[in-house]
Amino acid sequence: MTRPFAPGRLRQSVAGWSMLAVPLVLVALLVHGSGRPLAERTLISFFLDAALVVGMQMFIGNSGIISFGHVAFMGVGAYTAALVTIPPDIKVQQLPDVPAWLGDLQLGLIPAVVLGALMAAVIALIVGGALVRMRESAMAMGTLALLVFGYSAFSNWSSLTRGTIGLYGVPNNSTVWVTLVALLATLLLARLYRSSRAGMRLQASREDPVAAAASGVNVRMERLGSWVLSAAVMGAGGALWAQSYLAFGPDAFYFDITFALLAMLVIGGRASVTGAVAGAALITIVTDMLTRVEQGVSLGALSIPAVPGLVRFSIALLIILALVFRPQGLFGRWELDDVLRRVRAGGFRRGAPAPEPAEAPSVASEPTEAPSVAPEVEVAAAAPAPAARVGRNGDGPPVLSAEEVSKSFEGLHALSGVSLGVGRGDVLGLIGPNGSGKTTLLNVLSGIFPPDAGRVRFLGRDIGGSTPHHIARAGIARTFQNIRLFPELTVREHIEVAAIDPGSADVHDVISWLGLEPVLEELGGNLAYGVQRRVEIARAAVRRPSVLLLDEPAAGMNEAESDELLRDILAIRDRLGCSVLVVDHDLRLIMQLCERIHVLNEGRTVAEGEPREVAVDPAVVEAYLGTPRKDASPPTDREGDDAG
Amino acid sequence: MSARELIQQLVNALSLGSIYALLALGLSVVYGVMGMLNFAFGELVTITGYTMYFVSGGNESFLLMALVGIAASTVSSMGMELVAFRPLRRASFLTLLFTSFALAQIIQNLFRQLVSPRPKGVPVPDLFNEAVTIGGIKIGVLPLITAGVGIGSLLLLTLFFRRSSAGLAMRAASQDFVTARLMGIPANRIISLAFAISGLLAGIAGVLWVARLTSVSPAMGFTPLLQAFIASVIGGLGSLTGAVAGGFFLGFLEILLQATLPSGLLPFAQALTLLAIVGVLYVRPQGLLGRRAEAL
Amino acid sequence: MADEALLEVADLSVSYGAIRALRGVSLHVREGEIVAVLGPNGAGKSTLLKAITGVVRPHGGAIRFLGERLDGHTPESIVRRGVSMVPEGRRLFPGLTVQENLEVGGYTQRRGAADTREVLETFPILADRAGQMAGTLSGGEQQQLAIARSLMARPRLMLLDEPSLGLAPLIVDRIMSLLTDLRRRGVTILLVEQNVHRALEIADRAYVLAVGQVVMGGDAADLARTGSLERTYLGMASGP
Repeated sequence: MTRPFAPGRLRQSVAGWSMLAVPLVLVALLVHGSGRPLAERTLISFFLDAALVVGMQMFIGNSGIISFGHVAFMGVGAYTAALVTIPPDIKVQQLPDVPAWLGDLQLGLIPAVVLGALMAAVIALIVGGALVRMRESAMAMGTLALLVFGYSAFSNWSSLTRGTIGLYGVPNNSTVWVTLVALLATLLLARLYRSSRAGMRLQASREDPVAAAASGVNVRMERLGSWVLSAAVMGAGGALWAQSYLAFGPDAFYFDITFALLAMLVIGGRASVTGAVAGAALITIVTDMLTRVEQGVSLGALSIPAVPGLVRFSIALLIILALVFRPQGLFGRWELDDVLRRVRAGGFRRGAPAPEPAEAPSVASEPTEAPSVAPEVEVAAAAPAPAARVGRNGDGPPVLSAEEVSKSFEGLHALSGVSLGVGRGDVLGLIGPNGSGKTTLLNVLSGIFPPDAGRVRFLGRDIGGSTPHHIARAGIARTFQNIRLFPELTVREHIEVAAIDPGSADVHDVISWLGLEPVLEELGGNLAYGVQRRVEIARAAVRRPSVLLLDEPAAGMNEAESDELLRDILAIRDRLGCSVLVVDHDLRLIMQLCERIHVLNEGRTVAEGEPREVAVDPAVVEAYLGTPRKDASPPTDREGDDAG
Repeated sequence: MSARELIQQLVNALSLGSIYALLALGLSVVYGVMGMLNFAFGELVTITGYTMYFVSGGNESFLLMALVGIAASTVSSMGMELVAFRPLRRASFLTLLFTSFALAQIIQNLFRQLVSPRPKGVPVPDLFNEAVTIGGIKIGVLPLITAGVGIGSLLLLTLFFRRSSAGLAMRAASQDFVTARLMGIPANRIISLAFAISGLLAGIAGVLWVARLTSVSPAMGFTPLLQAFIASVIGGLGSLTGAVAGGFFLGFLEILLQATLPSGLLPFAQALTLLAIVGVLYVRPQGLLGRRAEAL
Repeated sequence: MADEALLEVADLSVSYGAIRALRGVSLHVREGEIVAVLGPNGAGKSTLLKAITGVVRPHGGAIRFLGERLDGHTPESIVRRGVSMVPEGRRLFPGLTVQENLEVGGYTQRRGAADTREVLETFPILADRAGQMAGTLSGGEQQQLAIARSLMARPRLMLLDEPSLGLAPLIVDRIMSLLTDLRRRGVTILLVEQNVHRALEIADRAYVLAVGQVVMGGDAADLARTGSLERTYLGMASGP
């Protein structure tokens, strides 16, 4: 149902790819034409390295998770290719115990590459299932274990790999053109993936997994998908590599190459495909130059002695320097076409260039989810003036409800038997002093914690204990008290990640109501505070949720700003037909905005009703200001015990 | 397995386990205080080994070699922090990891270039190859000494952590670094101390490691590093007791596999160990003694 | 001398990235006083304490303690000068015992195991639980421990960040009278609180913060009388 690309992104990535492809083709033509075999060897080596680095970039760059083990997949591809391409007579000499069907087999380049990719993908699927369940630091260790595991398997499974001695006799099928085509294909795949909605969802999880889940991203699945895809690329790359280097052993897929490839990625820029290629190019050039110096070279009158190990030192030093001075790498998150567009767009604007939309935004597109209530208010082109609070309670059962919910953290009772209900089209306010349990309740409703006791019902279904992304997909969207934007994604990309249909009219409306058009290409991390808050709200609203949970949307706003916010929230409720639950401390805003208010104190409900009633309820006043000791009412069951 | 073999294997397991526990603790001490995984930790073992190699010129006593090696490791660790990690104090986890990764490569290559890419032999006392008979059971001297030194060091360290004010300060800092500073605990000094302890532990483990291997090579630090990582993650990253528990768990697991695997599968022992570890983490992602992370 | 401020905050501004948490806040605390800082959530009260203790760096203004600048110094050096903090949520060391938490508090004074006895005399409940893990204490006991831990540093100025948070009213009583006790013993106190009435009962003076600025200030008794406090909190009127 959902399109794989947001409007304009497909064209943008193909265009960007071609900007990288053209110079690469030119270089290949130049070097091939020059007829210098050494240069051609270096070029093939560069193409292979670049393809491998880009393969790693597809996972590491988009997910933000460091993998030390990708080279194991390269090894799988290499050994697979070797086993199916080495001529049978040489094969049987090296591997006398190989099964007959395999011994007689000799395939060509393409089948070998395909098989290499497949084998790697299958293994990646198995291993990945365990890996994505781990915490991030454990995952890094898991990939290290994968590297060692692979090395151990290659070294010990002698009947298939000839152990530490290694295999030889692989036919030289990887010419300059073959490797060029492979690199171009890899680059295209990587660019497409990066700009696809799946790729962006993964990038969102890289930036903030919790906010991503709340925007409907199934973080584990996205990571697994990227892991398998990049492993397949590594497998294909390894197969090609084997058919270029012709002889190898397990040592080729261990630490040295891992370090070299990671160096290229780190120095060039993890988050962009251009960065990966640039890093590969830079390291190749540096290695090439320094290798000659390493062996001793004479510059005119000067004769520089051989300095063994110079290459490795230099690369290690380069990494450290890069990390100190430019931790994001040369290109950071910018692709080549982004950089060029920035320059063209007139100098140094902060922010990313826009994709040129290929089609006009669909005006009368069918909403993918039916609105939960038919809007009764006339639709205006601009944000409507704050409508009189149209009471809609009593319209049937609540859309979202908490029933006797309790939650404790290590002895601290954050919530004790709280019940509340959000009705269709309601705007419900949830208030209470610091520590009263408001945010905990919101977290329980949105699935971040399961309730210890009680139920959470949404549209009649019990959702207590569901994961955040399931709840998000069911139709509950939320914002966060501490603002959890995706710092390295643009505002437009935030919307594309969260929205079910990014091209729809509703999405465009939300963007214009919240005044976000001018900042669509700005990075989340560069926005002013008020704008950040609005982007948070937009990101939730564009999901066209049934219920919108707002956690302190007005924090840090002055009076004018919170008035605007009030109008925006009501517009969203009216036009998108969702119910709203607002937590905030700005009681002026709450009183004006909400039809009903629910007051918590110390984890319990102390009042509920219309704003006017609640404002003068003595229990509420006491909750906020405390009571003077002398006037304290006789101890209720809250007092008198030593509970913390 | 007979009772005799059981006792022998038990000593082996304690011996291997205590080396892993020392390594895991050395890694965790820095992780707890600074939140970084020091990839160059393994190179401290390499430094220990090569120092012992250099000192072993004439008929130097093994004890002397050991002490100088441990001193070298401790000083190197503190030097690492001062030169490479202090300027990057506020950097991200990934940046620090990469930096330590690069540093490890530099050190490794130093040894490769300045000494030799080939392994070099380190003389160990003949005593280590002998066995004693206790209660009618023949037990290797080296495993006994290793277990003794290892467990003894851990006990001394526990004493340090629990009784001294510096140890107390470190425990506080690894539980809540910011609040520890609010109590007046000096950040720089505590971090230096953490790296010193890390180097000390790597040194002791390194001596025991070399005593088993009787040789040093430039890449020798990788396996200790890997084992330290694995043990720390099993025990629960950030927990000092967890690191020790993880180390012994790993040691016991390895000896168990070595003793029970059919000979055809023996080369895969390490791979199978890793598989078992991954299995543990699958079921309990936070490690044996770790705390639950936020739900995703 | 008695009129000279022990702590002086002048035109302090603190930002977290794009968020301006404090905009030109000025206040002072004289020796022997209990001064309360009140205000709704998000007003910047915690940020103020973090700036004083050196956890965050202000980008404008100055903080002076006994005439010397505090801003720009590390938290550990600020403690040594006699400013001690009881953080929000207590922030005890969960894996350490009561005794050990106290010893950590006394780090700057080199007060070891023996000296904790003196402080424990003021806190008999804690004395009973000296060997227990701090994480197992009840809320009220934890708060007392946090205060006792802060006392170990022999502070001239004690900062408390919402000590009544999460505590039952009777326990809050005890904490408040404990603070009054401390004042009698010569400890100056700067108290951030959300329990307005209780805070005003024990304080000499108070400031009210809203949206990063001081909107009200004066004698505690005066502030307690006027109805303007309720309006600031319950939002019937907006700022100054």
